[in-house]
Amino acid sequence: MAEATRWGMVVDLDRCTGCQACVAACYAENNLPLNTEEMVVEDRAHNWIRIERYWEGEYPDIKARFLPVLCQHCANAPCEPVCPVYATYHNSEGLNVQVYNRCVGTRYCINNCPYHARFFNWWETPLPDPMPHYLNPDVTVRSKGITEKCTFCVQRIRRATRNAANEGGRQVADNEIQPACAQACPTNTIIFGNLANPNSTVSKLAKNERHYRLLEELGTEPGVIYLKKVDPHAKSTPERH
Amino acid sequence: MQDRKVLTETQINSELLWFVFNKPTRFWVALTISGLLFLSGVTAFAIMVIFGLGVTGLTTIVPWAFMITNFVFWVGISHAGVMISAILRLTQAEWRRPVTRAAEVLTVFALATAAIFPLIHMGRTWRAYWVFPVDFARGIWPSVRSPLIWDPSAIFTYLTGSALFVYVALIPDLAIARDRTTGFSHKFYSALSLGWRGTPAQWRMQVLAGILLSGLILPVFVSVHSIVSWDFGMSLVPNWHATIFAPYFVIGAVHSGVSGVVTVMAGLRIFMKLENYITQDHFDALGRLLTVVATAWLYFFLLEIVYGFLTLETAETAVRELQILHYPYNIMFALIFINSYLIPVPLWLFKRVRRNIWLMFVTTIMVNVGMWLERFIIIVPGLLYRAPLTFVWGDYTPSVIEVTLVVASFGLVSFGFLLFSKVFPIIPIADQKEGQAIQEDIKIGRITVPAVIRE
Amino acid sequence: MRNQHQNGTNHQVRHYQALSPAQINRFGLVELGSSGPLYRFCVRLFGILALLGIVGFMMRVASSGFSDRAAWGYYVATVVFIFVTFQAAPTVAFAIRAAKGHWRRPVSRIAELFAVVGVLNLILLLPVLFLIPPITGGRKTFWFELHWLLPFSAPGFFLFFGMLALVVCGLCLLYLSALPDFAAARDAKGGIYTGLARGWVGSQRQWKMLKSGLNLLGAFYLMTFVLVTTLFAWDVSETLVPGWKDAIYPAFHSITGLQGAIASTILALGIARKFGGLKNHLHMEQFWGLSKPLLATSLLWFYMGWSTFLTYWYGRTLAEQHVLQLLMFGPYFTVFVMSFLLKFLIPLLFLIWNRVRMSIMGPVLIALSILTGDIFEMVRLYVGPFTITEVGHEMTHVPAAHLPDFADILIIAGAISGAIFIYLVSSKIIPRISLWDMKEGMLLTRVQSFHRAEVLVIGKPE
Repeated sequence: MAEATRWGMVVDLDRCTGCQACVAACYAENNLPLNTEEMVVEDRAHNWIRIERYWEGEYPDIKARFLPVLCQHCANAPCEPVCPVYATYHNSEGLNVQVYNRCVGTRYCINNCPYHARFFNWWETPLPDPMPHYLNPDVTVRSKGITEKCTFCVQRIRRATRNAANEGGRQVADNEIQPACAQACPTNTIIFGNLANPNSTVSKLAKNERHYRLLEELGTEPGVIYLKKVDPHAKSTPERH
Repeated sequence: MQDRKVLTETQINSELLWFVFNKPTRFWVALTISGLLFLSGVTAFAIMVIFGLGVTGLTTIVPWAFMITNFVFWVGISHAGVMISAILRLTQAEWRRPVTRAAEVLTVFALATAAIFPLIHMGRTWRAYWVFPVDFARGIWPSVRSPLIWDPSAIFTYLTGSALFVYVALIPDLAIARDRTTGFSHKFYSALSLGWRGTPAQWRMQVLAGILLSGLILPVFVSVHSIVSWDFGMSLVPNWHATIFAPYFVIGAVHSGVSGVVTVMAGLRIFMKLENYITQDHFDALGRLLTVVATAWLYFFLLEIVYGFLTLETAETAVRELQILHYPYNIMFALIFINSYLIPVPLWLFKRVRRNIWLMFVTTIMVNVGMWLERFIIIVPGLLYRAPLTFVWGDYTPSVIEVTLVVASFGLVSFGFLLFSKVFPIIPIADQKEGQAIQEDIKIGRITVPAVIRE
Repeated sequence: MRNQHQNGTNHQVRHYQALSPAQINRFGLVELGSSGPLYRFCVRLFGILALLGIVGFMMRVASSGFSDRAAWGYYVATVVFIFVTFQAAPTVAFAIRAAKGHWRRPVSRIAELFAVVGVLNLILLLPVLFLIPPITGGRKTFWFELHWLLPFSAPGFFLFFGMLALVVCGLCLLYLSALPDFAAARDAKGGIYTGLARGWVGSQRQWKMLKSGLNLLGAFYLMTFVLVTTLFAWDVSETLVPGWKDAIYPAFHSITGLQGAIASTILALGIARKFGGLKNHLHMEQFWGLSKPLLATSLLWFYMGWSTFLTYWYGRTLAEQHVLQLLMFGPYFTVFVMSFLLKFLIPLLFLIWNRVRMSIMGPVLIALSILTGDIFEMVRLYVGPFTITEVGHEMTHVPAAHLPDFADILIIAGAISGAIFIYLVSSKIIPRISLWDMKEGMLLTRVQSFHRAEVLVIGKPE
């Protein structure tokens, strides 16, 4: 690719309804194990993207706030330097990459992720019939003992760039790539694109005055930018919860 | 030293080798019990490998807990050997002599046991060798930025160093055993004693090797637990990401390690009937050493706690609140302080307590209970991240598998220790004799002051 | 030579005490109250410099008053410098006494004498109390204010009483340790010593109390020293800097103090030996013995500093980057490099050689290097933080380096000279060598032959 690339995402919280369509889409796209009630209670559910729901105010003046959290693909990712075997590293497109084959399961990266965006395969992925027939052939089913996380649907990024290269080496168009969550979002909350290109939709949205990044004080420089909820009555911003 | 017993060299030889050449029932009973404990751990590990780490109580919120706590605990215990042997040798503390080998052997087995834990806690233990630079074919190397790479390097260096330490000091004793055995044992001891004849040249090299190893192992000694602490310090986890961890872990290690040695010495004295060698004087001296070490540990402990409040960072104060106020961590927190300082140290100030073997046995076990909990309370509450994304707050309860593994680790260390003391003399014979040779008395007026010869 | 190597060790007995008890007494007592030309010159020189220091202080007050905290950075650095070097030295006397090293006997008093410097530093501390900013106004610390009680901020209260306890304890330690020598002086000279040695007859019970008293006071001195260093570290530098959360820092500072203590003791020993006529009392053995802990503390200093640096380096949060800028790589980079060189690199590179440790010039020069490094170190740790005016959890910008002006230089030179002046004066009242300790040492040592070698036998009474 000739163009400098930093894949990034804008999440406009003002649009989010907390419908969880992104969560469902992510399950289907990325061959996640079924999150049973038991797994959720054990804190072992795999949510590559999750909707955090916070209550604000006191009854009857109470409001629900939604915050979709996924791997932030930090430019300065705390999970990367701690991996002893380079199973997680930063690639040239700004993605925080997890190499399943290389992972030995020290779980240090899980400890060190302040966003809790990394998940461990405590068992072999349980896939009751007929689930094995619905798997996405582009995505590995992870075995027990390794760590996984949101990839920004790297399989879709790869397909798009490959197509672009096959079609005479053109640039990947803005909005050509959509991760499963963005595709499923009914309100266009999630926008994906190249942050390094100043003309892309994400870059423009990222300059919005409502923008902020999660846990910014940690200096991790996330690639996911949130746009604050527009609420004239709000007493505090969602990040303060 | 106050009550010096003068023993003949023959008596020293026969008494210290008695356990090597005889097979008392109590030895086999102890060996069987510890062996069974160890086997229970092997079973637990097998279950983990077959079914996956889901059989533990670990969660996505707390991916490190009991096994890592136990790892840090045993690395801590392993600091005893060098503290006793190297530092006391360099500072020429005479009373160290009969204590050294047991401390060094405890180091070796504790460290070997510790090294097992990060391995079995990995998701794919069978790929553990990837942390070493061995993948020549594909040119994929480990990441030297990761503290988890520093860890194996430090631990294996320390393991090698302390094994050498034991061995070098053992050579003259092996020769004594060689001269008193026949058949297979004779061949075994001959091979190990490397042709030791006790010539001046050999002695000179042995002494030199001992001093060199003492000096060289000190930096390793400090680095090992520092690096273990950096497994936590290099992260961004609140409470883990603390500058104090390296020295705090080292001093804690010395505290728990020396306490561990006292426990083992008391056990040995009773179990092997070594009253002539491990005397009350040793407990007295170790008790004094412990008072100093414990107070230094307390300073770091308090600094670490206060630091959480001092600058009023939300994440840090949240962890302190969890540690100090919330069940069950508040109980553990209180136990750390009470067990590792509040009860033992005021007791150790009294000479009568320091010279009472049973009291020393009990207080040092208390210290180590406290120190185990200390590691736990550092590791788990930090991970619970009681800030800032409240949606993902979790908790941790260990499973039977993890508890079994912890118990089994004690079985493994005592199994190794017992086997060693069956094959080799656990009190250094040559050192004991040397200590006796340089004892002297000085008469001043009507009193006699014990003295030692210095070059 | 062949025989000497029989047991793998080198048997050369070093007669470090070749004096008779009477000689020790006579020498120790003669010098009390009498002085030579060099001594008189030094006392005058340092006295004048100390007076100039007072002038510098006046200039400081006149030019900036007490409200401009940044201007007082060098003053505070000087106070802490005296604290972590001279005032720390009595801890050495306790440490070597507790370790029962037989070479320590002529060292103890020279180290304990430094306790008198505490009186000066207690006075110097008073302005610092008013310079500690109040807790209100967003400064991050968990102290609470005691406005109804104090004219200054609450942390200063603890600092002052800690320091007071330390000074009193130090003086008691010195007096107790010198008590038998005062008695010897009383018997030989009378005068003020009759009052000073009141009640000392040397009964067994008195000796027993003296020994346990020395240990208790010594331990208390050490602990109070660490406590006061901790308070200095917390209240006078760390909490002034937003985002500086460094748990090891008080311990790191205490290690600086212990290193400074050993260095000042070695330097005082070296000067006393070369110019002070103690050639027969102080030998290579004392310098050798002290240079080992000097190396150890230098290594520990690096170790704890490294521990901070590495943690911050991996943390990489904005707050940590700013603190690293302020303390190491930013405006005070040169100062940091100097203190790193003088306090760690030079001591390490030289003291690892036994040849250097087993000499007199070697340890003395290294001690000088460490003490010089300590000045830079205190500038790094105090001047920078004193220029910070922000409050909160994170610095947004690192202010430029604050350079000393003429008043600051006068203050630094004056305060240090004042400390030396007090030390010199008191060394004419209190014997510089512990006479009773030396005599006890002679009772407990004996040279005898062992097989074919000559050895030293050292008594170790409980």
